[in-house]
Amino acid sequence: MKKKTRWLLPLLWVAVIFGTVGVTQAMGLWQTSGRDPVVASQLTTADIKGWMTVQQVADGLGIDTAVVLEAVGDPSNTVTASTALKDIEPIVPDFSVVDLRTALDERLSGTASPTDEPT
Amino acid sequence: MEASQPFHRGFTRHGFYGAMSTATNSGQRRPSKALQRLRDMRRTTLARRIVQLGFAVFILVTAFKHQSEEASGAASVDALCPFGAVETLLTWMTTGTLITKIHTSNLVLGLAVLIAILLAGNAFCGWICPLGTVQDWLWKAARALHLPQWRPAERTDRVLRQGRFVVLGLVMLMSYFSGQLWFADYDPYVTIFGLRWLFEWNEVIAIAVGITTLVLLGSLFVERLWCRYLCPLGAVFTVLGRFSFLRIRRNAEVCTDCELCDKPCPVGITVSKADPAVHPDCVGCLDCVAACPVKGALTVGPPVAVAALLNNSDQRTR
Ligand code: SF4
Ligand code: SF4
Repeated sequence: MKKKTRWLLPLLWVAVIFGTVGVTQAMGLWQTSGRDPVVASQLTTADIKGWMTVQQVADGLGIDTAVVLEAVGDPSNTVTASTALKDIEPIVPDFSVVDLRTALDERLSGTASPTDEPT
Repeated sequence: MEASQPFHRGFTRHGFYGAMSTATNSGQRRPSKALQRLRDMRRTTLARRIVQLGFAVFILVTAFKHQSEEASGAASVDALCPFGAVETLLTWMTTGTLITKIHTSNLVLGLAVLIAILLAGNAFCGWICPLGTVQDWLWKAARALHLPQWRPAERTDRVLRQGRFVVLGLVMLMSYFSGQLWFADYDPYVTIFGLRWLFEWNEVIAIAVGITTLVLLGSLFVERLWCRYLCPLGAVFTVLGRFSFLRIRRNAEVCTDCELCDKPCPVGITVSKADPAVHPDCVGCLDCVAACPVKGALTVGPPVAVAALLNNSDQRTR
């Protein structure tokens, strides 16, 4: 009895791990990089990446998409909430992710301060 | 292997088991029970080493691709660790979001581990975790080099084991308050298998490498030092392992108290005193089951009441 049943432990483990991963992969739920909709609301501007969309940046920072779009500074209004940052450069030639980080930094500190300012 | 060489953690061929074969009527020599048991132990160890190696190599290859080819899309070691699900748990429960660098893969692996441990106890540490594998190799190397071993007294051991819960609490709180994968900068698993030290060097990596080196050096003198005293995932397994359906159980009526099962345990569990299930710190290596010379004394099975029910219905259907 013992000689055979003991193999159940490792076999079940390997089966459950591969089975769960396989099922979630088939369902499209398995994601191993940040390029997924799961973005923490505690993102800082330093966490902004080129693959993120304007919407993801806004969600991640907990701000309105209008603020991000304004920081992007697209005069043609072609950039939308679903545009990925890496796709903005051909639309706004001066755009860079680093510049966007700085611009959002300035805006975030700017939006925080008015409430602190004496009226 | 030479006859005088220790063959399995303290057993010697002639010391414990005596003659390894018996003569049959036809004059041929048949392997004795002792030799069969020795083979069984070797088979268990070999199977475990192969599975461990498979997982370790997979993680290393993935990490190397992740570090060397940005466009490869290979996962980071952070994304392939079930502990990520624990690290993000407080944030997830309170805000519905995840801390940075945690992905659905962490949640999926966390779920898989939860199902597996409730079903079959903890075999993750004994068969899958690459950090456990590294410690096993170091221990083997240290024994080959005849380095001294340190076996803490029972009370000291019990106190030191609480270290895992301290680390777990610290990691969960720091992850929650920072919103980041805080532990990744100190975790020996990420340090060794993430391979960042191979591609870049800075102060953060230097600290991580320092901590990892201390842990690995310690593992030469205390078997599975990290697993026993520090691993936060091990702490989670110890808690969940109490509720496992299948566990290694000792049948006190059959057991002869020979204590042979105590010797091979890599995490220092006194299997011979199991009542009836072995301690939830068990990492599922199965060495004790293979070492047990008495049939039915140590078995992998469901709770005694469930086993009795199953036996009864089995007899009735015959
Ligand atoms: S206790 Fe931790 S380090 Fe050890 S094998 Fe288990 S998960 Fe890995
Ligand atoms: S109790 Fe048995 S199966 Fe569990 S770790 Fe110890 S030797 Fe391995």
